[in-house]
Amino acid sequence: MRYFILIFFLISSKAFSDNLDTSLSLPCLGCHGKSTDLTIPSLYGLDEEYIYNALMNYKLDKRKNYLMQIISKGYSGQQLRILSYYFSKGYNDNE
Amino acid sequence: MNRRNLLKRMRNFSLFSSFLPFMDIADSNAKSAGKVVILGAGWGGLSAAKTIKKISPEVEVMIIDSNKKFVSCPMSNWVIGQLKNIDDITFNFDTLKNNYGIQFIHETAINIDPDKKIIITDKQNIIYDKLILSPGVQLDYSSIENWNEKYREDFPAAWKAGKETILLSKKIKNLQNGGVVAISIPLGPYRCPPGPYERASLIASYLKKNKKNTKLIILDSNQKIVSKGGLFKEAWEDLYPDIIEYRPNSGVVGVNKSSSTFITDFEDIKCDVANLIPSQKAPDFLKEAGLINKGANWAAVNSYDFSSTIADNIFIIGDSTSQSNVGRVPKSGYVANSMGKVCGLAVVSELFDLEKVSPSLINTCYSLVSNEEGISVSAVYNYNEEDKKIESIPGASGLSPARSSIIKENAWDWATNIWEDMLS
Repeated sequence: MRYFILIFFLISSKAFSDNLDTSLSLPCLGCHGKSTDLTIPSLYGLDEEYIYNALMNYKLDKRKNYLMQIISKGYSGQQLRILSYYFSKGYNDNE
Repeated sequence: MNRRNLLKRMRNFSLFSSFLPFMDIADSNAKSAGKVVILGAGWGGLSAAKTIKKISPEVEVMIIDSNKKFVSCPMSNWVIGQLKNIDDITFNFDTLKNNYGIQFIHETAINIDPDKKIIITDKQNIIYDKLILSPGVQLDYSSIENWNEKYREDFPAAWKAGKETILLSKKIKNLQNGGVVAISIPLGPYRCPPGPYERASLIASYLKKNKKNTKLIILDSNQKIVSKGGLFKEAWEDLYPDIIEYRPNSGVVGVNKSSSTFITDFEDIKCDVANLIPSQKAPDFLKEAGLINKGANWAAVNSYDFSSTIADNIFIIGDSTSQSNVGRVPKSGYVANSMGKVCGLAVVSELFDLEKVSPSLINTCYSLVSNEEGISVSAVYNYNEEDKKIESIPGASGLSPARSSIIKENAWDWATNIWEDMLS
């Protein structure tokens, strides 16, 4: 059922664009920044599908990490899709 | 301000390009960029400043803070526990000044005139279009009998990172074998709910390895440990059964300076190191400016955007906000960081007549239980339309299952990252 809902959201482009929301990604930056030498990974520029699958698997308790299992449950599948998209786009400070 | 440039910047700066809802009204005429004045260069104020400047560099941003450096409250217990030096948690504002064009004024704010949109410091009147107040907490010694401000050196709070952090750290280091340390914890709400218990753990951890036959007495005004209780209790029983004595419902009500004694309702405790963490409230400055409701201790805000419920064009974020308005979010650094971002977006929205986005916040709070292991608590929050408060999302809050050494590493790495998020 969960997957069905998710697929519904993904093909529903209107629902996707209506909920694009900067405020969603900013709090994540408290832990996930640009530095790559920390025990908390940087997400910038990672593959969108990789980030999305990781977040979904945390949400479904299929991937281990107690903290991300908690955090990922704060977002709908559609919101995780949005977060994955923006983190995968990378960080461009010079614009 | 040129709206087209603003939108281009949002699109190019990918993390902020999710501002796409704003593009729907991209054709409306832009107002001038405006001037945002922020009081407080702490976790809330810096996060708001950087958010505004990232999205909209044309907005003038000025921060007022009497402190010339940022000394981090989170991780300051590591200094008291002899794991780090104060220099490790002290940073300058150079990048924010040079790379973001944020102006810093090291003065003391005295009053606000909301009608004229002026904030008055000890040196000048500063005009603002939008004012963000992030002044943190004021320590309140009014319930301590015989209290005198001169006693601060004998009974340091070390609850705002800085010279008292260094003082308490030295006192712990210089403690003799057989000595007694006591920590007094105030009734909530206070800044950083798990902070006193982490401090107790780190002091006990140091005493265990370095000082013989010492005791740590925790005098808690609360009925029980107010945050991560089970995890702290388990660690204390396993690691410090002969060192920590925890006494609930036993807050300090008075002091005797000459004998270095804490007075509770039940007993007098003579101690070699006395850490008095007093009750806390929003700074009197906010009350004098009329931004706190009668009889309340904390500032009244709308939780959707952290605008004052009392005065227009004023926003209040961080520890000084009222939980009865905001909702049950802890007074933590991470929450102040999230509030600063929500508020920064809301201020940009107001300056450019754009629709505000619904707030999203995170809290993750790490505490060490020894010099080797840590624990954590996390939650994701959003805005509940019905009761108009920030609420944790069902299922998305919880504790670390147990203490571990990797959580200690995560704790320092979290701090390293979030300092960078705010300061560089």
